[in-house]
Amino acid sequence: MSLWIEAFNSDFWYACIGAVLFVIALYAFIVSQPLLKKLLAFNIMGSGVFLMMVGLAQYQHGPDSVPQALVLTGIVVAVAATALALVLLRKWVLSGGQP
Amino acid sequence: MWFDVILGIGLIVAAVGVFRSDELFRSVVFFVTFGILLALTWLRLQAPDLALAEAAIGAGLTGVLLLDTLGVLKKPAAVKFNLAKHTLATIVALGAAAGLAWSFWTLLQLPAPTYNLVKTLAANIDDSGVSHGITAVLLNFRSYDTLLEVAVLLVAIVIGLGLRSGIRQGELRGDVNTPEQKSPALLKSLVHVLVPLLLITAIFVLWAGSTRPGGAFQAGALIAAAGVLARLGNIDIATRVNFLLRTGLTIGVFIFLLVAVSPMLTGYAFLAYPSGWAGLLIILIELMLTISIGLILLSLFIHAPHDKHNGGSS
Repeated sequence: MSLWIEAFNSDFWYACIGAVLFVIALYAFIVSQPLLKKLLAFNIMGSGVFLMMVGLAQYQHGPDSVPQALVLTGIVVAVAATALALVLLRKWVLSGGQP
Repeated sequence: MWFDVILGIGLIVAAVGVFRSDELFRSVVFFVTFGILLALTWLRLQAPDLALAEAAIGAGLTGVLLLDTLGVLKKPAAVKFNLAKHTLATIVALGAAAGLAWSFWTLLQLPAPTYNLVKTLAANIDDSGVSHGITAVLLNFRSYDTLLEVAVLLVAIVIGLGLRSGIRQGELRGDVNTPEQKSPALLKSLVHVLVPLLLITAIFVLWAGSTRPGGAFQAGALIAAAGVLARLGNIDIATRVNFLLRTGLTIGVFIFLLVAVSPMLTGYAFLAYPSGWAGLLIILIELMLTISIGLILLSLFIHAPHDKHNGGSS
């Protein structure tokens, strides 16, 4: 237990929050019925992973540009993927599919 | 410390709010709230670049895209409780939780790593041509990642354009025959003020990227936001310059590839900047990337399939 208390700073705390977000978003991704909600859950899963990446890389060394740059790339790819998913979703709904 | 505790719990509450809302509109509003809280979190993690990107992209642009899509969606069918699905989800989530807890625990017991990226970066940043760490990583040390990222964006917009409505009737005309809709006077005058301001801010953020937080992605997101705003105010810039738009979509990848390949002619490696030129070339690439990223994100919004009696093709 002392290991946890020693390591506990705000970076590690946010990494833990990221892990919790990932787990609940994963649950919601499987359970939720509307496709839009699945997409939101998938986005939050991604945010959880980003928080873990930055938090775990930083909790010993302080601010680190390398994981931050990778996460920046990740955020932009995530928004492009979301926009593309929304285009597919609209096309699917407009051609008579169930949202 | 208390602020961190409250912010972390706030993130989880916002996420739970997204999943527990029955109405999709409420989910989207919770999602935007989540994005704003996440931007604050990045600030607490001393990552101002990520905070900028999250505020512009995660909270702003994604929110607009989601709200715009809500208008197309019909009311979803009533949710039926599915026991098998819930059991599966519980098992998978518990498994993921156990795996994550185990890896966090193992990580704490490992000795401190011998390499230290922070020091390596600080030692080499003078060779990179820029003085801001994240820009140095994105466009010099790990520029391969960035090149592929822009390629991913290009693939997304190619698919997006392929799926837009009205592709059969005169592609190049785009949505020009959309009947002009009336927008509120207040919105229109606000757009006239805000769009130039957003564009100026985008140029500043791009320029600032070489010495402090900022850069091509944040600037591109701001340009896309300006375009979306103009579109909401019925100022249709994008479809009037269709040819330029297509050039703009590809110019980022094109210039980046050109800069990446041309050193190979003189015996350097792929993506190696000739010495002394790194700073200038990085600015050039960033400028082109800003244009491309902004236009790609904007086009994914504008060319999304529309309802028939709601604009788009007829």
